[in-house]
Amino acid sequence: MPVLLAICCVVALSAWITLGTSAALQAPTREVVDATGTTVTIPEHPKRVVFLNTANLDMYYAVGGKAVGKPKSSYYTKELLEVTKDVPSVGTIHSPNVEAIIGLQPDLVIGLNVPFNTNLRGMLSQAEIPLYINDLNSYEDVVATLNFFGELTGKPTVADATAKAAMANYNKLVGAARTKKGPRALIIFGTPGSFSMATSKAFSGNVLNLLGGHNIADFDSSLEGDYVPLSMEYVIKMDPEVIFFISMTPKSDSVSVFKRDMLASSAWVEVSAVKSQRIYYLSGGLFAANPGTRISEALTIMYEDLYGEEAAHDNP
Amino acid sequence: MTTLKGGIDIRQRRRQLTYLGTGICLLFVVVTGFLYGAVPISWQEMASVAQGQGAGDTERILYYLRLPRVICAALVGMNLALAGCILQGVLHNPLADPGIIGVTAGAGVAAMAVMILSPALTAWVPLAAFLGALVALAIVFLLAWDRGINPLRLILAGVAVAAFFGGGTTALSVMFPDRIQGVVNWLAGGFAGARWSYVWIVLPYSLIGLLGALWNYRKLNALQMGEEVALSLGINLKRTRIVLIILAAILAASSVSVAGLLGFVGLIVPHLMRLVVGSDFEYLLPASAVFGAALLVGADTFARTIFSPTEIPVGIFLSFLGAPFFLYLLKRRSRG
Repeated sequence: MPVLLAICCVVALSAWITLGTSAALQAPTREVVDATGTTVTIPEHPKRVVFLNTANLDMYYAVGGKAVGKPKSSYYTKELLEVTKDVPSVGTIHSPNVEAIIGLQPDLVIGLNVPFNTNLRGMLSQAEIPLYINDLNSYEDVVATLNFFGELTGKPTVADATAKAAMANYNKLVGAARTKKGPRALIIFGTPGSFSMATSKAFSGNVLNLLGGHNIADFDSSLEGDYVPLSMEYVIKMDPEVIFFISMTPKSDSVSVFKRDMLASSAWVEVSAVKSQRIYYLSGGLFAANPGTRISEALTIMYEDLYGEEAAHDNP
Repeated sequence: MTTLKGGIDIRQRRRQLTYLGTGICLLFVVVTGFLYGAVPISWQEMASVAQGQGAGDTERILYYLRLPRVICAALVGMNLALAGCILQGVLHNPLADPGIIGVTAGAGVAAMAVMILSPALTAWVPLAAFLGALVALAIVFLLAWDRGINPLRLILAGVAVAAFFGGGTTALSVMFPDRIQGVVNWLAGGFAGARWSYVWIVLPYSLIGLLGALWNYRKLNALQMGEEVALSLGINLKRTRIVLIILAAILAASSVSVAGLLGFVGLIVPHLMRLVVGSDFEYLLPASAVFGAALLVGADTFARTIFSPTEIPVGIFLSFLGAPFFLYLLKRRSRG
């Protein structure tokens, strides 16, 4: 009797899964190669897309798309949170909930090239749900992604305009930065006592490089990885003129505390950036990882900090 | 009679050699700790800084970074080694270390909660860790209380409390994955943030702990012989145990509060020293204190210079090198 029941369950389940996905199978499909090099068959115009990270979600909405599942994250902008408030969450980028994803019956899942996302492929493919892994490291990635998402939503003109706007800002700021002398800079992730420094491999370090800043974490070519726990001695020797710190908390809380901690520390107080108080806050939502369409905003903020009016005022 | 006397002489000789050896070791690592770092500093530069004529940044590196760091590492090494010694004696258990009475886990979860939930209060992390350690200790005491402290119950309670707080640490890291970056370094245990204020935090407890431990070496010896012997020597078991465990907890809590989770030192150093000076606490305590200091200063210097200018937290380095070395020593002893 229990065996019979079990067989019934299996039959019912497989029937349900087949029924659930058959609709997706009928739609026209295309083959694409994603960031992991895997060839994925996806619907030409997916109707039910689940996103595992906010940057991709943000860009998809920017080109007129709509999602059926979104990640749980602290990186949402007010606008994005507002337009996605009725979209159910499928868990954080670090631990997406497969049951929740499959329960939404998506015809496409889009995630980042991180283990917590890529290792979903096996489970999702059992439910015949394609997983597209999208890398977002550079400015070019953002432009390419916008265009690709535009094809998916069927609004390539919107995508093209958004991408062009982002590129125009990029050309303007990067061009302007070329005419200026970039300061020695340091990007910190953590607290003044225990911190890691971003190298040019991290998104924030990449932006700093584009804007002509000289990242002291890149002076030593032996360093590998996005964020490295560097020695304080090294910082004193390299004497950065500007210090950025990436923080997950809102600006008002962290800036004053961070400046106070640095001014109170005998090791930091003689560093040029601390003496001239050129310590700038970078929000985690914009700088900890590529923020998608907001990359323009990130670029503008760092440009202003490096060369803008405020930077000049802070000079003694 | 002559052989017995000869045996005592050899042992005394060995102890003196150990004192001398660990002392020289400590001196050597302290000097290397000053000389080596991400920025190379020569003898000449060091000498001119000592005379007050050094270059500004060299002076700052030596005075504000290396000096407090070396002192912190030495004090923390000493405290953890003493705490391990005391706990192994009182609890009658060779596996006892500051982790076993829950203090490490308590400090860990408290520090992590502050760093993750209200990053603005990061300056208070040492205090939070210290309080967390004391809270954990209090819970362990409450659980283990049975008309006095029962060593077996204390160990079981300690393991349970450590597991509970350990769960809290994991929960925080799972719930706030985006904020974890700044916290991992602290959890691994290290001296990257060492500064003078940290020295002043640890120093008083180190002094209390060192004096208290040396003051009580006879009681520790008696406890080591078993309850009956201790009772017959007129020792108040209940009070002695409580006093000694609190002493160990203070030593461990102060260390953890500035150096993060560095538990292993408290376990290996007493064992290593027992192999050379024997189980008499009169010699074991000072030898462990000096060697603990030397080990941590040396290991920290190594950990911050090997991949310079990248620093590996010394806790990671100690676990990787310390554990196999420790097993090797134990195995060699059991063969001998």
